[in-house]
Amino acid sequence: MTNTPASKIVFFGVLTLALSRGCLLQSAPAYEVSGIVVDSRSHAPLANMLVSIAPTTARDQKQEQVTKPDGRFAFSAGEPGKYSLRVRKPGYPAQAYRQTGFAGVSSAIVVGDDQDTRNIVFEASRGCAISGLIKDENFEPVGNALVSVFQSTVSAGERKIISRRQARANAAGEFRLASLPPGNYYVCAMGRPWFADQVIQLQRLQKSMESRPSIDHGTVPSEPDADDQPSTQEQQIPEYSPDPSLRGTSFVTTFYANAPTLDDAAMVHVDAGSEAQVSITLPLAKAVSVRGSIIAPGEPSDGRANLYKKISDSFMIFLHTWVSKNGSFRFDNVPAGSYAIAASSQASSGPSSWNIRQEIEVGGSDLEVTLRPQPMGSLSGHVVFESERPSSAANLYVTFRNERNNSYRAEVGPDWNFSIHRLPAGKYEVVAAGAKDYVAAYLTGGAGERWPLTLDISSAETMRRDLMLTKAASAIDGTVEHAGLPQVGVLVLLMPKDPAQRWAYRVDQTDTDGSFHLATIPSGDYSLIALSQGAEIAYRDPKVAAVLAAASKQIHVDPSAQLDMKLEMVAAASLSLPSR
Amino acid sequence: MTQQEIVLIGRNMFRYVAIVFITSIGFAQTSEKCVLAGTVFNSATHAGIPHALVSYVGFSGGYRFTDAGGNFQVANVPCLQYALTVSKAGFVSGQEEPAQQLLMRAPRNAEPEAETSDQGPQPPHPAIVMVDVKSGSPSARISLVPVSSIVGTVLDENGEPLEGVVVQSIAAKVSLAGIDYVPRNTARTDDRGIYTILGLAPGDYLLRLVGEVSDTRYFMGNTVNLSNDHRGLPPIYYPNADSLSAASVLHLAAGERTTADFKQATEAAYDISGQMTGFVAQAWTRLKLYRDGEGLPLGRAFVNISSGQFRIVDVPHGNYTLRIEQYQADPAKWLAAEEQVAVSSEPIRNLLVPLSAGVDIPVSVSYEGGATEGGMVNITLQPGHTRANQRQLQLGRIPKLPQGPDVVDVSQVPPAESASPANPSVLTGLIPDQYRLQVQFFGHGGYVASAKLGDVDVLHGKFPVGESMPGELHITIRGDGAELEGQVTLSGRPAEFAQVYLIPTSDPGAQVKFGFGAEGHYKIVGVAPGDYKIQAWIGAPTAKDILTGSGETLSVQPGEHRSMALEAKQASDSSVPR
Repeated sequence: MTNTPASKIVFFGVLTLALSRGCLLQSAPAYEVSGIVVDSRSHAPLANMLVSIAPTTARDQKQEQVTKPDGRFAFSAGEPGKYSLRVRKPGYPAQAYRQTGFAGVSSAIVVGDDQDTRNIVFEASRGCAISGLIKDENFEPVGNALVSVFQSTVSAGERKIISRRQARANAAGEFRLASLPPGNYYVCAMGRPWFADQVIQLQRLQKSMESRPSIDHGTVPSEPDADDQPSTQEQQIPEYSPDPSLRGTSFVTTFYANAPTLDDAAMVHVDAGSEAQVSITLPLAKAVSVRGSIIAPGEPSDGRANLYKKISDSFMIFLHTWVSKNGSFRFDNVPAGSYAIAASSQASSGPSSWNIRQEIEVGGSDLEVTLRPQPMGSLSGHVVFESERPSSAANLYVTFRNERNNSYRAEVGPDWNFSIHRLPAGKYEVVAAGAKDYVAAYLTGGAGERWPLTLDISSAETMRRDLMLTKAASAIDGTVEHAGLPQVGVLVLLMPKDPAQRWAYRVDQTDTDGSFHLATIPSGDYSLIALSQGAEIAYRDPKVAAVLAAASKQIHVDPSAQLDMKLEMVAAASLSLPSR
Repeated sequence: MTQQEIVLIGRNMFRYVAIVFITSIGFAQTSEKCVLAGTVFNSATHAGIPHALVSYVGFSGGYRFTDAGGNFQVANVPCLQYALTVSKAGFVSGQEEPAQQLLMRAPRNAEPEAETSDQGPQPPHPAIVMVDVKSGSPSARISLVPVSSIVGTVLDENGEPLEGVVVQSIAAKVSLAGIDYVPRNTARTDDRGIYTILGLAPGDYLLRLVGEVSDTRYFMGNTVNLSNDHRGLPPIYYPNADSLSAASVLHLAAGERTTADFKQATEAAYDISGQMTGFVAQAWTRLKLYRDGEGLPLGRAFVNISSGQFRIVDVPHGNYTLRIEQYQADPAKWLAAEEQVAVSSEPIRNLLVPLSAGVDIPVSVSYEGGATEGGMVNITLQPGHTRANQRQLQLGRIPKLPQGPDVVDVSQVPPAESASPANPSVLTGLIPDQYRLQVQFFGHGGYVASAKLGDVDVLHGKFPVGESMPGELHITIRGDGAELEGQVTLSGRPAEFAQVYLIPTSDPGAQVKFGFGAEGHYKIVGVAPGDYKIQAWIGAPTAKDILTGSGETLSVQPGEHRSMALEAKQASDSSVPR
């Protein structure tokens, strides 16, 4: 549990105390936070592990040390409170105490007079690795192949396939992706044959020879006054003879095991500390060229263009090239598939700058595309409230974040209006910031429509949308017990009765004293459950939600309520959850 | 009738491979057809290399991939001479770069200075051979050399793996000026501390272990969010040396896989943060940190190109030069700064680095000793760090090449591109750096006698250009160059197309002249007075050939006209086409 308003208040109190006692610190009784770091699978102690501890509300007050040969560490914490304990070393990705997965929530170490913090056992998960070989149909290595791994995982209660990591194979076609979280993966490789550039050059030579009417010794920059060979002889056009067996100059992007798409791919499972071996064979294919011209207003200027290959909703860099001053560019050797071209001018601002992104489909023949700078959309509207509104709009912002993680921010005016201009085309997520105790719920129009908090900007028109904020000032504090004992590392899940209230889900993990804290909760009806194993549960899936709701405590949260609850832990294995 | 045809391959004229081959047009008109066949084999194992690319060019052209046994065959080609280009991933040509090509490059600095960024794959270095296809001639045999590799583990003082540290290979290559240290492939250690450097041409290498090195990255906002561990590594040369000169040389044989492990204690390291001033917002920006006495950069740098803030993380104690470069595309303009930084036992904060757009240097030329202004002076200034910021200036016009069959000076190829500044006799926008100057004079009998920047001789070696005005670049061309000519023989008979090298004994890297002519006659004009070694070669000699080859020494006097007979030697690799 981290960074909640309540613990901040506690922390400031602690800080004041610490400052007032600054000169006495040496004699003040300190709390010992000590224990051992072991491997999560072998339970062997881990030496030379970098361990850090910091108050959850003040990460910069970090203390660090390295575990002894017996895996032990010991810190002195000056004040009671909640501390975040983290470890890392090569082979062990940075991870917090009882962190589920590698990116999920974790448990804080609670330090106080009634807490035993001297016998912490930190089970560190060794990173997983996927390694292997990328080769061609002749069983020869594909050097520099780009290998991408996609993880099938549950993120914020939804099962998703996310692009996890990429690596280049070395010249021997070998790749290794290490420090991965345990889980289920799909592996994909793309590459370029080593001979591609040379063969393309030879193919151009062939074209130029075949298009010439007769032998011309002018391949040489010949002296104009040189003794020119009279072109009287009738000469046959020299034949150019390409290798008839060559099947292509590009590789087909391929998933393990030899599947053209992710839907046909085989899943690779890796446990903590294990390594999976994966080999992929890339078939050769004919390729075409993609020529483009950029038509931008204002003075022309040169720039760069990248070609991204679309793989399962992710875009992987495939080729890059220069855009000439007249706006033309060319990608050679592009196999059929879905791509996006992203181009930008050398000058990043000013009248001659441009920025373009467009998705294209490449088929079996050469392609010519004309690209124009994307329309810059505009949006305006009001911030509206379901119930009572805050006293002023000061410090209230509406933020738009696109798929490339670029954020654009609009300030909300005194009459609750906002407007934003020059939004590049794309999909955006809308969030509100600066409104304490309020959360963005949905977008709405004049007629009471409800749209999710996403926007698709595709034209230069000005859109009108109002942003509905809902008050979320309630909090639930509590502890999770099992057989009368506080439970550590349990997932506490608060689900709104109406799943359309996507903004109202709250999640926490219990700290070492079994406590949890759920904050900024809108008023309404909820199911509340404490689950022994929660990381992989897709609680937004309606079938899963139904099973969870049946085992949950049904509660009503009033506006600005401060609830205190004791929950009994539910063993996730005891529920008959649908498996995907 | 004989016709000479020069085929220029490659995008850049400066980097060309000139293949001169002779085709008999009369012969081509006959319809006689032959089979062009051959085998590509591994020089180390002598096994055939499957799926190698063989392209041929001559009166006709085409390409084939070799079969499983390394063989290729093209039927029905005119029975003539062909140039074969043979390549295969994982193999390089065994042919050394001819000295002729080394000479035609822009001047280079002897220290390693290339980029440290992860290079993409380089296309395999092809072998180029000439074959004369006749009816019943044996099939060609072309060897390729398998590349070598270096693998190893990097552990810290506790025997724990060091992850993400960089190991750089540096080739030690013989050049006319001595040994060139050329950075080659780089590898990063993985989570097990293992690095693998592949694709090295056999030869002599040094290894440099540095900490986490990366290209400059951009950030937005006031701070970079980093979880750097404040540990670093001072650069180490394998196995445990602190300088290039004390490092062990690894000799890599063809196809060999050598192991080189490091065990190196990390030490406390500190961040350097500061602010650029006089910078161009949003322009391409690069920060590089050079440790004193080193030519390769280190460190991980982050810069905010809106605010000019920067931060370099995990720098171990020592003395450094921080170099910042900016390039504004439109209009094209370079800015740079160099700042001395001493890191001891704490982070450096609020370092102010003023960037400057460079200085202008006027150029003047005087003609002495009978020289006239009838020629062209070509001036090239090569910066040591910002390689793309090369400056070139041409004064005068290139004279018509002397006619006649006996003299072809290949060094007189005009440069491919030249800057055309508004003022033709000013070198503009020279940003702070170490420069090398190359001056060529194309004119009858003249030579470059001196080049001075202010009072400093800049014709030989490196010289700094800083922020202050260095003065005028003055070049003196003298007309009293000597002339050397004579017969070249090989085993007593006139040697066709021999190359004659005239190497100054004081500075073998500079001002080598060469020329070759038909029927065994050579003539070299415009030779500066001084002491030389003279050699004649058949084939394309390598730098090693020239350095180790004997040759008559001579002391050339001003205005002298000397006649000298020379006996040619065969270059070590005669398979390279002339």
